[in-house]
Amino acid sequence: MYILLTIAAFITLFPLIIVLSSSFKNESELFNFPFRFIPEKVITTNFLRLMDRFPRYIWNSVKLTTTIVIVQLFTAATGAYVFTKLRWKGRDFIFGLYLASMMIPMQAVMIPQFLIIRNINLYDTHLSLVLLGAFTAFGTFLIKQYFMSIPDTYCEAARIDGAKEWTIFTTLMLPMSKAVLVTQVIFSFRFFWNDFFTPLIYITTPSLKTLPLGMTDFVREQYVYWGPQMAAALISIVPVLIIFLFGQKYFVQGVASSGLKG
Amino acid sequence: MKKRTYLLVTVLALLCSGVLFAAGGAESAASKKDEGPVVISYYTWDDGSHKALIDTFNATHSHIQVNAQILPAADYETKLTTLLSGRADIDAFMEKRQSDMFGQYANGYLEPLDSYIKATGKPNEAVEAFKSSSVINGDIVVIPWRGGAYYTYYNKNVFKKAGVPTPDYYVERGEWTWEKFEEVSKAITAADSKLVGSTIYIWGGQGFFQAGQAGDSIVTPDGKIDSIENVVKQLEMRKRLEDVGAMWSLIDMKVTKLHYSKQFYDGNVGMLLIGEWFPGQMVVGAKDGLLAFDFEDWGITRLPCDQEEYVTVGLPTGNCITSYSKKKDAAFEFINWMSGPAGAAVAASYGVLPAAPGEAARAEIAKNLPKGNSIDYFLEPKRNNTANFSPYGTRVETEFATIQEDFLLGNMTVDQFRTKFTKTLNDIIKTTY
Amino acid sequence: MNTTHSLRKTGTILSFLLPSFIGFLIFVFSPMIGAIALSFTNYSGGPNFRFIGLKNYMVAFTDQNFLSYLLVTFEFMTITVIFQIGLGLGFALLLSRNFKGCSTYRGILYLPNILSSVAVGLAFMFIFEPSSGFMNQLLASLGLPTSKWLASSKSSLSVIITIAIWQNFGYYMVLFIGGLQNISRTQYEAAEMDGAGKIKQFFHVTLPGLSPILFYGLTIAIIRGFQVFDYIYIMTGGQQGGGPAGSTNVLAFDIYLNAFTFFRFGYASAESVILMIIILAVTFLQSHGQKKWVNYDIV
Repeated sequence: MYILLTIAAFITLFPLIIVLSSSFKNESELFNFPFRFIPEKVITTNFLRLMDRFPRYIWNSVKLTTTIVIVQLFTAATGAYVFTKLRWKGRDFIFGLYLASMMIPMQAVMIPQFLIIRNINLYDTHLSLVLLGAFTAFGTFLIKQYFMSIPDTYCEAARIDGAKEWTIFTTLMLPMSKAVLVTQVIFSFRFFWNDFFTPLIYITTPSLKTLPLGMTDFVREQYVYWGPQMAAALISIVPVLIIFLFGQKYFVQGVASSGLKG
Repeated sequence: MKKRTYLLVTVLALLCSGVLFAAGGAESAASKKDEGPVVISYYTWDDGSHKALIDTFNATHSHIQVNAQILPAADYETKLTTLLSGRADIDAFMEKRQSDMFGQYANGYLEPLDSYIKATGKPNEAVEAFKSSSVINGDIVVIPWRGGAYYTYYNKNVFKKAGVPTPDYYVERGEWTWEKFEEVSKAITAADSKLVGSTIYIWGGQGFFQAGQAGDSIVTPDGKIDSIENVVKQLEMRKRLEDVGAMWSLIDMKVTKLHYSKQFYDGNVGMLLIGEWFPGQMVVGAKDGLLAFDFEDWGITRLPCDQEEYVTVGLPTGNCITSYSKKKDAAFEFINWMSGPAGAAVAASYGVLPAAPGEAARAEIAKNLPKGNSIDYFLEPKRNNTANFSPYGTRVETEFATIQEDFLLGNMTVDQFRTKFTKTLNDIIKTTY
Repeated sequence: MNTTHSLRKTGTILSFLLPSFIGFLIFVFSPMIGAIALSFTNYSGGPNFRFIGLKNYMVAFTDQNFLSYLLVTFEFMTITVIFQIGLGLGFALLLSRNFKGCSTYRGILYLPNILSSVAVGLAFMFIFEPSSGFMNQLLASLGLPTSKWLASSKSSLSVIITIAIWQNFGYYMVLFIGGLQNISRTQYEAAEMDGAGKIKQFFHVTLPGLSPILFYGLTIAIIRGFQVFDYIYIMTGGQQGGGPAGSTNVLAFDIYLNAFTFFRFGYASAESVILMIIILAVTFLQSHGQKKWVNYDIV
């Protein structure tokens, strides 16, 4: 069994190793045969080439992703709370709408969305991306499932003691839901850090570009510089990797609870 | 009770949609009284010559300043459409895909320029040189600044290695036909299999050289299919050449994103059939140290041509003014300047062929070309035909690009291609509404 | 007394509801209505458009190309779903019990999922380079035939499917691990006491116990399969993409092409609505079917 797992792990990691190795190679060495893992000549120019604008892209991505993650956490958690711990008419209907929205393909709504953004004068701004990303059906769903597994008795008890709903939310529910909240952060961070399509449509000014957009910089009119391309890919992987490694423990727990009790 | 909620939500949504869609175009900031120069917002794609033109204009005109928005070339057309549809702040822009102008015109985005040109007192040379591709429905909608013409760029070393005379030898004897082009391509690769005889790039329109030269228009502006035989002829030639490795495989180029400039720079390609902007790329290539051969070892000559009188293909590149711009006069002054002798000189210094080259431009251009007869061929007056310039143009080009791949892969016979292409053209005509 | 109380209650509910609902209403729900509205017009990016009824839909259904896009999309979706769920389940079974090094393996197998599809697409384009790419070098050195990968209309879709599976099976694996760990040991012990062997246990305890999550995973996989875009865009040529001879032209890409290359927004919206309806239909069928095989009681 270990053999099988090791083979699988190898196949999985392999392309990444190639990316790692290629990012340190000179353009001419890249397609050399046979493929060498340690480049003949280790160069850092691929990374240096990125220096003139990638710091900007990275900063944009960090700023934007962090903002969206925080906003999403807020909207998803409050949404989850209102759909589980509070009773009101139309609750299930509206949640049904949220669920249905998960099935809407991006392409279906991008044109009207674009028109809306344009009409409120937010084209080519980071704010537009934040607004578009604020609502998350998946996130609300995820946290809702988790909240549902927390017995209602806790909240009931607190209500009997006269606590306000927001107090219950912040001092009771949230602390107990650390696992799923961390999971939401990971999912959310990963999605927006890597989001390519939305910035493609909404960002025009080079200084506002995010990392995925910036990565295709080298795939342009002229030629594809594979070296810097691989270096860029590598850079985009590192932050997400770090967050993942740190949050891995919560993560499995969180993903696991998301599918519970349909 | 539930029904009420349904209703409420739907009404709310419809209200929202209505308000948000209708709220478009409201100018938020009130314009202040201008004391400084008029600033116009101008969109173009990333090319050294464009930036130089903008900078030169700004340096020499104190009463108008161009605020340039440079978009990456790869998705330029998409971006531009997005911006126009949202009435973004654009006063003028450079048109990258000429057939897009039809759609833009139909949507009322293009400002007719006839009255502005008339006010200058004389016809615009550039417009006159490319009248047929600057006018839609009787309105002049674009002012060309870069001329359109395709040439044969060749690598002298490759020809020497293969022991074949360079194309200009055949041009001089009036023998530079497509048949000869095929023969020469094959000869080069036959002499050394590492050499690729010729290369033609992946854009759909590159398959219409012969059609354009013959005066065909694939689909006429009023929606009828012209002849497609020349398209077939060229495609068959391409397949024959690709099958023996004498022409760079189109699909390989697309998949590897290998650019024609790199192919030529690397020095293993005998001939490249591409447009008039290429000397500019050669200059850049030399500067960046990417040329595998000496700058004097390449040349320019005519496109292969089967017609009695030489004709080349290529659409000019020009600038348009948006109909909703609030600074049309200033915008016009800018784009008019770009097409005039001053702009031409700047363009020429980047190896670009201006639409209306003046004397100064010619001298500049010569500096960026290899010595010899290249400059003569580059600048000789010639007829220029624009195949596929119609409202159907973009779709024809894109759909053709897909079908030709199928043919090149050997998945269909010539007759199947004819049938499929004709059917596709009919579909395009029927579904353009 | 009652009215102030219920007003306050409404206020509280609203305060929790609005953050997500406003975003939903403005940026999800009304665009969807807008898309449906646009699908009945010939909107092309400007003010001059008109209502044309069902014309877009009729054109779509009679267009040979559209049907082939549907087929390609279905093909992509089916194969990726089967393998993503299959591999995910298989590895989850291997890695659900805690043994030495299991979380390392879990982490590694999940790793591709956190990468951006752009990075993945570019990396694999490099690896599968048709002439001297790594894969071909490897195959050649082993004496195996090489392939043109993305440059051949026959293999192009398969390559992209493989890459999609590579990147995504880890997600489902982790999902199923969670589900498996949630099935209590006592269920297995009871089955064993009844004399059920490993295989019987799998079918009578594991699968039913896993079924809610399996259903969730299946649903997500199907939805995502239908919506694939990034890989196609990155690996088959961006604006001019769609694989050699349209072999990887999936519906989502065609919508993008029609909207942003041909500016046929009305038609593109119609295609999107059709895609949306298909996804809804499939999910609905799924959800109906769940009553038959999904078992919520076992935990």
